[in-house]
Amino acid sequence: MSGPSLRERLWASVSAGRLRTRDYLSEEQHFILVAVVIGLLAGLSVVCFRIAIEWSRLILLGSGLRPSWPRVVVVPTLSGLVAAFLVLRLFPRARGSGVNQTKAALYIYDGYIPFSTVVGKFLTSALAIGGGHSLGPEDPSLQIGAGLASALGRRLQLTRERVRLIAPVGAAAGLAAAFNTPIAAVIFVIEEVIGRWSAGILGAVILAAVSSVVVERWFLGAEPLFRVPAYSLQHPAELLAYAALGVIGGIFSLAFVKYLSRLRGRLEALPPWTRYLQPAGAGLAIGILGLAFPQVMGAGYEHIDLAMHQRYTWGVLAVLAALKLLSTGLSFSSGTPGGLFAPTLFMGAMLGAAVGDLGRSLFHPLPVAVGAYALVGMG
Amino acid sequence: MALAVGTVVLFGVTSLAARRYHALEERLAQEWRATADRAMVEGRPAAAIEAYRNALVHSRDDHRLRLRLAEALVAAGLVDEARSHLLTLWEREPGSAAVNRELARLAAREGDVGEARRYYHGAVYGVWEEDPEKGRREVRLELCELLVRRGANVDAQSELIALAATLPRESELRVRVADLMLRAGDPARALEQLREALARSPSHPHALAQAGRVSLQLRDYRAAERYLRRAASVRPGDASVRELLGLAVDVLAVDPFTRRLPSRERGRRAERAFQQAAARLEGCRSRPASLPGAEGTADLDALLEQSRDLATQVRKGRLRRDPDLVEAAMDLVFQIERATASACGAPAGLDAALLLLAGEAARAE
Repeated sequence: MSGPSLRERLWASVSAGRLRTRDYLSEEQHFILVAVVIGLLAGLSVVCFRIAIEWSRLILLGSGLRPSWPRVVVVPTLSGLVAAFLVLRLFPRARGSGVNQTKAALYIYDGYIPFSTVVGKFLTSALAIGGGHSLGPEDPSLQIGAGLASALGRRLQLTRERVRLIAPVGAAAGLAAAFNTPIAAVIFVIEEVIGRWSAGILGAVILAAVSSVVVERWFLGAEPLFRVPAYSLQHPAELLAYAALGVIGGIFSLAFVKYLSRLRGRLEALPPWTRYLQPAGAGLAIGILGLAFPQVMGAGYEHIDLAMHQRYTWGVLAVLAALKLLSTGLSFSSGTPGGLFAPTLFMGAMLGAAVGDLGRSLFHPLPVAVGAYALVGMG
Repeated sequence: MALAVGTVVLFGVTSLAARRYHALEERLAQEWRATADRAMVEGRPAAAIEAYRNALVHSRDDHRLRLRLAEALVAAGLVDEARSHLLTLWEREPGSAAVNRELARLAAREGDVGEARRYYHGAVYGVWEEDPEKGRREVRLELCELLVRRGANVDAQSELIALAATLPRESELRVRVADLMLRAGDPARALEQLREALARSPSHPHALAQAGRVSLQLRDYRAAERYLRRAASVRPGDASVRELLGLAVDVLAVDPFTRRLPSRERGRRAERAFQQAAARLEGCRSRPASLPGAEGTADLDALLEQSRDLATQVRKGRLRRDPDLVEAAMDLVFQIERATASACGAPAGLDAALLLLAGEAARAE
């Protein structure tokens, strides 16, 4: 006499309100399914996160590219103050960009990221970025995705090894949704977060990334972030300009890294109570810079688009790159939650466009495509 | 089960948030766009540019918005940025008539006729969102005006022929096209268009005057006289029309080579023409040396001698009997009128009529 059929067992489990897929799937299959679910959840969360940033920006800074001067000065200051309070009192692990924190969770805490970190990162980053701090949403999205995955893994009572592996799956999903690029997210997470290629994890990472992007595109559309104008190589001499851009970008990157590490060291050396005020101080400084150059506030994607379309002269572009370096360093080093992806894209785009526009003046009347230089600069 | 419920709830929350967010973005984009459109109407392109940029922040994929931004940038003289936006649009929609038209205008502004023509053709054969016939016609007209302005008459003529084939029965358009055809060196087709225009608007003053002018150019002096007389009656104060009418009347009165003219009348006209030319020659030859045009009198002296030789036979009335003498006399008349025109300036009255006939004779040779 045979036992209950699969169908009968399934119905019994559902009726009892405790459907456990692991009872019916192998461990590998279960892990893949969990990866897909993580992708869906991360995608939904990142969509909400991006909307939260935009809502914050609209409420705090208004709908135009040039907010009024009181908002420019007051909003980043106050948002920094509130974000600092939330981070220091309620969500300590929400501090910083999120990439290093995720790596630390992976290597030190076996992939353990408290769910409160997800909530804290969501709230504080949305407030800080929407309030005008010079930071981006991608790194926090990575941490939000990783945190969700970690929480889900624990909830599903996965093994310790699986919980450790599930965090980067969530990280890839979060980053994929943030950038709308599953392939880039997978490569980044494997190179930067996991640090090694692993056939066991690769499939899950890809599935999660794809799932999250599907969700993200469902709600926010599939259009690319930038509208790149048509471009072509007009003269072989332009290759020299591109080479020069590479050198300039390298020097700029080195300066940025050194500046970040030094400033961070100096700020961390200050008394602990100043950490409540450091983000506010950074916000005030950014606000003062923003009076003349509001482009340096926030992630800056719309201004990258304008730079690609020759909105600014090379002098202004160079100044914007420098001021963005300054403001990003202030925001990041003060501990304001938020990422560095978007600001580095901004700096690269401005530098590239500056070289392109300068080349246009020198190679006149060749129609040099400034947008192409901005693209290369971002790379 | 809890996970499934949680996912569904999160999906619901996200849907709601996304829907409200998109609605807000759309509203903001429309508000900024309305502000920008108002600024453009009020002639404030700088303010319009700012507002269009703000609108684009909330509606990045709205190609109409980007096109309006490009138009505002052109109005403000920010041509490079405008071109950049237009090329972005062109990459996505190479068949958009509006985008091609704006790119053509930019190229025309910079004197690149080849590129302007390419984009104008893109506009003509592209997709129009409203009233495609009118749009195509206007774009073709712009192209023709550009080609005529740049002296590319052969290209202009071919475009005008294509344009003429699509014209509605509207006098003003046909007159405009006729003017362009005339400037492009195609008077015959210009006259066709003017006739079409006059068929619908028989009293159109400009069409009548132009038709008269073109008929003179085409040596149809009777038609010229008819058109110009009508033009003069419609617009009596027009001095240029009266002058041309006078010229047409004089030509008809003095032309000895008019068809089916009796030989006596032919001789009489040749005699009159000869006397007129001789008087003109005498007057021109006797100008003081200090006056402009008084130099180069050797040719005039030679002509004077010839005319004096011929005068004897003219006085004897031989012109009325000898057709060969009429030819010789009129040859001399034409030479005199051409020489005196270059030496002593453009003639008036009967001399102008004779000079016109001299040009016709030169073309016939």
